[in-house]
Formats: sequence, structure tokens, C-alpha cells
Amino acid sequence: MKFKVDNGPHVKDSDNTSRIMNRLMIALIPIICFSVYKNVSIIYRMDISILEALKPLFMILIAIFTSVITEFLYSLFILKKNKKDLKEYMKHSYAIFPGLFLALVIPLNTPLLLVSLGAFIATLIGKMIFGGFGHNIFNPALTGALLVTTAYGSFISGTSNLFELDTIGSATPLANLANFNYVGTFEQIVGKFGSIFNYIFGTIPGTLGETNKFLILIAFIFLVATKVIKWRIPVFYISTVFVITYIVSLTNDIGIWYPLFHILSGGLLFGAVFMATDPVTSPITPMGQVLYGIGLGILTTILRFLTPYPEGVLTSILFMNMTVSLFDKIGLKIRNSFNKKLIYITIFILLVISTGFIINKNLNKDDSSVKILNVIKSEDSYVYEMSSKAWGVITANVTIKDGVVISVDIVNSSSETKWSHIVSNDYINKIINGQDNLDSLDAISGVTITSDGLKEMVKKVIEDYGDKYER
Amino acid sequence: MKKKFNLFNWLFDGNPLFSMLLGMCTTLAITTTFENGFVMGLSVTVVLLFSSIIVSLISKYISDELRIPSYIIVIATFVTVLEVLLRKYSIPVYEALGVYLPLITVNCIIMGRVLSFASKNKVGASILDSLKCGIQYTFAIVLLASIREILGNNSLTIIDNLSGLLGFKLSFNIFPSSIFVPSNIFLTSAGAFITLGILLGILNSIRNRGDSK
Amino acid sequence: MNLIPLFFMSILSENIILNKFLGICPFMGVSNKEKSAISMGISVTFVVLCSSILTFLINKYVLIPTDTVYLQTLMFILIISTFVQLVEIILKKYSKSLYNLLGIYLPLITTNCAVLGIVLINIRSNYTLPESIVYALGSSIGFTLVIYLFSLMRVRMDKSPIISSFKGYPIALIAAGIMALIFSRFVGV
Repeated sequence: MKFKVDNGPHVKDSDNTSRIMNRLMIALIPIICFSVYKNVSIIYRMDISILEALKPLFMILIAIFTSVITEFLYSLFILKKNKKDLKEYMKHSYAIFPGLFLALVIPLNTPLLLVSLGAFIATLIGKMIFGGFGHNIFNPALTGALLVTTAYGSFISGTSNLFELDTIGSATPLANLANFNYVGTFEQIVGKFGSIFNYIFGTIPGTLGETNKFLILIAFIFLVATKVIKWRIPVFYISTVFVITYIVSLTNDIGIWYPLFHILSGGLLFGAVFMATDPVTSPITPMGQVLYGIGLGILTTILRFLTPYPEGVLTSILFMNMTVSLFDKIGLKIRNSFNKKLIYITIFILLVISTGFIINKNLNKDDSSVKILNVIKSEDSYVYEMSSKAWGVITANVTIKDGVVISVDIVNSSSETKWSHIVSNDYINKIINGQDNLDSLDAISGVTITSDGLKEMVKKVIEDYGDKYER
Repeated sequence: MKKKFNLFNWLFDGNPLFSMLLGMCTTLAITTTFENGFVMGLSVTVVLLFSSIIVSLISKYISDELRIPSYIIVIATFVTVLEVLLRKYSIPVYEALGVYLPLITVNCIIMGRVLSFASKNKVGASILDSLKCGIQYTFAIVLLASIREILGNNSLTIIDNLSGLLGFKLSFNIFPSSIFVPSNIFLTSAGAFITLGILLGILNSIRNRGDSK
Repeated sequence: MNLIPLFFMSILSENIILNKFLGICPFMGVSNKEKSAISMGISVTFVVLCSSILTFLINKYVLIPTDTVYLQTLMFILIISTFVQLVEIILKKYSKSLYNLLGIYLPLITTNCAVLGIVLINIRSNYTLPESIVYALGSSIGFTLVIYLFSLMRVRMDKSPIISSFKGYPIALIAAGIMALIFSRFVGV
């Protein structure tokens, strides 16, 4: 008998769905309260006005407001529902969630207007245009977050923002990790932000949802106990990340704090518990969930270690969203056969272990933070596509002709880079003019790491050109 | 009133890009500035025109199995001529079009049009048809390019790469930067897909509303 | 250019469909059957790989020495279409089953932007023979991957209540855009 798998969430009646969503809300409330309180108290100590201190609260409110209005207007004008249907529809559409999750995931430095734009995009493109609740393929909040941070990333860390204080929204632990090329001592990687307890209880920089791991854990237990969550996904997701980072730590002679650090930093716990388990965009079958979780773990570690972007959770979840029907198919096929289950699990475990070793190999090989991505020859010059782990990541095209760098075109710079400083100091022209003696060129204060990254990029291009193309 | 209605239909009905979704490869890649889009549209029109003429002349003499290969050779010849000319007279344009210039050869629009129309009709009709198709396509690609460039760079570059040939530059900034901030994302591939998707959706809904009247 | 980063780059961050826009016609037209996606992928991989090698050799030993580089476009497209015809004939004759699996897609591949595109990119980036092979292989795998993933998504999208003006191509393009954004984050892998 062949079963066909339909879209999630699979519930017997609409009451069940609302039960799930209500429990989810309950679970989120302590986390929200904590984050708001934390930001208020810290900023209050630094003597900023109450209005600015309450920014986290405003972020959440404006995001929720935008989502609901967007969905309301959409169903009114585009779906052309009449008044009676509209009420019923809005009750079961859970419009607040894309906005709410967006506010909990987006960097704290984001201007409120962008938060609203993000919520708008999340609701409109992430959810409504694909057919509304239950039909979206990608996690709406993450879609909105990704689109907004990619489109307007420079505003998220620009000087136009008052939240540029050292303890808030500045370098997150993962961004800091990237600067040490991913392995280092306890002091360098963990210690800068406090002890492990700081990580667990959330007194470290990070987005609204992710910092307090303890509360997330409590929420998880609550959600499992009330049978509202697909527990296999977070369990296997986090274990996989643990195992892979454990392999890395073993081969580099680092203690067990390293994998613990990885689990406790960034959006991993929050993403695993709240976003990867979104009933619409995750597998239904038990085995499917297991494999899905493992896949997420593999992707996240690959992204964290091998790409310049410090955090991998967002991209991994969005990527795996595409594969959901595949995992459900597999889950259905093997649900009755223990042997087949064993085979699949073994394959995945092998993948996990090899990921650990591959990451390790790539770590030791590349000890410079600048990478040459591609070299293209045009008429009489060479264009180098470079990526540089500055503060965050910069990708740029450096054009070199006859041994002289003639232009540096920035393709992309991540949200952590304070790009406005570079532009206002005309730094790129300074680099091009001073390329014969870059070591003596000063970095711009406040953006030293980015300045150094740019210099290193140009230096590497000149060096590589001299090695390969100069005759 | 009636004349305007006809213009809209003329531009959009059977529009190779918007109605039939052909030739997207080159379109999405090239539409980062108005000028690039316009140049590409013009190139496609020219190649289509000459290829149609030749194909409509020789189609009776070609057997069925040899159709596609022989037509490709015809198209490729004209594309090569275009390549050589551009390389000689305007290197900036040649480089702006990049690898998508030779790819006009396999552009579904040209092959599709040639197969479905020029091979079955006389030269005169083929000329008119290919001109219409080319204009529709150019219009579509320029529309997309304008949207992407305005949203992505707050500018409209009409003559830049061609300046060597024509002797002047022409570009505009559209909105004052205090009101509207452009975003780089529209110039990336993701932006291209999403912009075209939304544009198509909007065009479809306009057409649907027109039909239901 | 290191071969391994080149390989992964051609699959992920510079994916031939999502980044270079080549091969969109089959991408949009793929049904929601995963099997046909895989079959198309295999055909494309085969054609691209062999064409890359052939065109590289011809470019190096025939076109450059005789200073007829401008004939690239013509020459390459001839090579590709001839090769595809050959393969079709051979398959038809010697392996009916393989022909049935791959054959329907072969003629389409000739006019597929992706094949000519990959070949041209190889030449224009001045890749050596090993690099060309790696890039060709990686690009085709990237092509197959994207088409496959999209066919998975197609299943769900076809059943969803999307508004009529967006059904079909518009929503597919928007989904592709999100996919493009996701793939572009894999830079440096």
C-alpha cells in the first residue's frame, strides 16, 4: 500500500493546531521577557534613555504589528475574502509568528524600519505568496531575515545606530571565533565573554531569542511534555553538531569545553528548538525527522567553519527546508524495516564523522583568513574574486593589470562590518595608491580588522599574480 | 482609448519573455543596467531578423532531420559576425555582455521563432514577424532592466559603455537619496529571480483582470 | 586554482543555474517527478563533460594556432550538436534501456544554454584541462542538484492555493530567488 504524504501540519482538527501554537507562545514568553529585561538593565546602567533601552520590545511589537497588518491586507484585497471569512481566517492563520520569530532572530542593531520591512517580507513572500499558512516551503521568518540582512546589511552595523555599545550587539562569540581561525584557547574563545554560565544564562551578546540557553531548554522540556514539538529534530541536530565539533576538538587537543561552546553559542539552540521544528516546514515521519536533524547538523558545522559567515543555522534550516519531501519519502519507505533504518543511520553517521575530519583538514590547511575564490582573465587584466574574513566577511573583485592593482570592487560585505567608516575614509583608494607598501599603511581605528582584511586581500592578489602570471 | 488598449496588447501578447518564458538565461544575467538590457535586446533582434531571412529562404531545401543543426549554424554565423563587430567597435559593450553574447546562439527565442515561423513562411512575413518579436523582447528586457537598476542602484544608465562609439554619456539618478535607499540585492542573482517573478505575477494579474472584464 | 574549492564552488556559490542563469528552461519545465530530474542531470553531465574535453582540445590545437578564435561559437556549437546526435544514434542502437532513460532529453540539451555556457566559461576563464573537467563536472552536478531540489519543492507547490496570477512561473521564479540566496551563502566552501 502506497501512502502519500500531504503538507503539514498534520492535525485532526483546527483546535489541535491552535493548541500547538498557543503552547509555542507560552514557551516563548519567558525568553522574550528575559531578553527585554537584559537589554534594558544593561543599557540603563550605561545611561541611555528608557526609550532606546526598550528597543527590543519595540522590535517585537513592530514586527508583530507589521505581520498581522500585512496578512490582513493581503487576505482582504488580494484573496478578496469577505468580512465573515476574514475573521475565521485570521484566527487560524497565526499571523504573528513570522514577525515574532523574525524579531527574535534578527541582529539587535537593526533599525526598526528594517525590522518592519523584514516582517513584511517574511509574511508576504515567505508565507502568503506560497499559499498561506501550511503551504510555505521556506521558514517565513528566516526568509525575511535573510532577505533583509542581505539587502540592507550595511545599515545593520552602520554608525546611524545608537546600539553600537560594546556589550550589546557587537561581536558575538561566533564572530570572535572566526577571528581565531576557529581553534584557540579557552581564554581566547570563551573567556572573552565570561564563564560558561554566562553562555547558559544569556549574559552575552546575541539576538533576542538565542541568548538564554537555560530558558530555551526549559521551553524545550515544556514543549516535549505537552507533545507539541517534533523532539527528534532538535535532539539529533544538536547531537550532530556536538559530535562534529568534538571530533575537531579531539584532533586539535582541545578540551570538552569546545563542543559545549559551539552548542551554547549563536542561534543553534533557539533555531533547533523553535525554527527547525516548525510544523509546516519539517518532516512528519519519525525517521525522516532523525535524518533531517542530522542533515541540519552537518550543514551548520560546514557553514560555521568553512564559510566566512559566522553563523550557519539560518542558512542550514532554509536549505534543509527544500529537502523536506525527500526525507518524508525516505521516512515512509523505511518505517517498517529495521534493517533499512540501520543502513540509513549508518550512512549518515559516516557522513557526520567524515564531515568532522574534512573540517579539520580544511582548518589546518588555510591559516590565512583571505581566500582566492576564482580568477578570471579578461582582455588584458585578471580579475580575482576574493573573500576575506574581516569583521564578518567581505567578498570583492580585485582587478590587477600588468602587476598593478587597478580596482577593488566590493561585491558583498556582511552585516557585522562597519562599512561606512571604510567609505568615509576613502580607504580603498588609499590601498590602491599605496599598494607597493601596504604594511606601512595604517588601518582605520574602529575598523582595524576590516582594514587589515582589505589590505591582506590586495597583498595576496599581488603575490599570487607575481607567482603565476608574471613572466 | 482604443489605441492605448491595442498598444498594451501588442506589446504583451505573445511576448517571448513575458508570455512564453523564453530566453530567460540571457535576460536575467544582463539586466543590471538599462543600457545592457537595451543592447542585448537589440542584438537579439538583429540576429533574429537576419536568421529569419536566411531560414525562410532555405527552409524548403532542408530535410527534416537536418533542420535544427542547420538553423543553429545560421544563427551561430550571425552571432559570430556580431561578436566580431562588437569586439572591433566597442570593447566595453563586448565585455559587458560577456559570455552571454555567444549564448544568443542557443537563446530559445531565436530558435523557437525561426522554427515555428520563419521556416514556414515567406521572407516578407518573416521579416515583419521577427521585428515584432524582437521589439517585444527588447521592451520586456528593458522594462526588467530599468526596474532592477532603479531599485538596485537608484540610477538609469542609458549610454555608458557605448560612449566610445557615440561620444557621450547619459545616465540619471532617479530618486533623491533621502527618500529612497537602493539595495544591492536587486543586482544579484537572487534579486533577478525574485524581481522577474513578482513582475510576471503582477503582469499576469493585470491581464487576468483585463480578460474578465 | 585549487581543484577542490573549484569543484565545490561550481556546485554551490557559483551554481550554474542560480548564479549564472544558465539552464533555466529545463529548470522551469521540470515536472515534479524526481526521476526525470535525475535522468536529465545525468544526460547533461555526460554531454557537458565530453564537450568540455573536446572543445578544450580543439581550441588549444586548432583554433589558437590558426588564429581563428572568433570561430569559437560556431565550432563549439557544432561539436556539441554533433556529439549529441552521435550519442543518440549509438544509444538507440546498442542500449535501448539507456536510451529510454536518457534519450528524450538529449536533443533538448543541444539548445540548452547550460552546455554551451559551461564550455565557453571554461575557455574564457583560461582553465587548464584538469580545471575544465572539474568545473564541467561540478557545474553539471550543481545543475542536477538544483533541478532535483526544485522537483521536490514542486510537489508541494502544485498543491498549494497560490493565487492564479502567480501560479506556475512567477512563484517558481520567486522560489528560485530564495534558493539562489541560500546557495550564495556557501561561499568559500
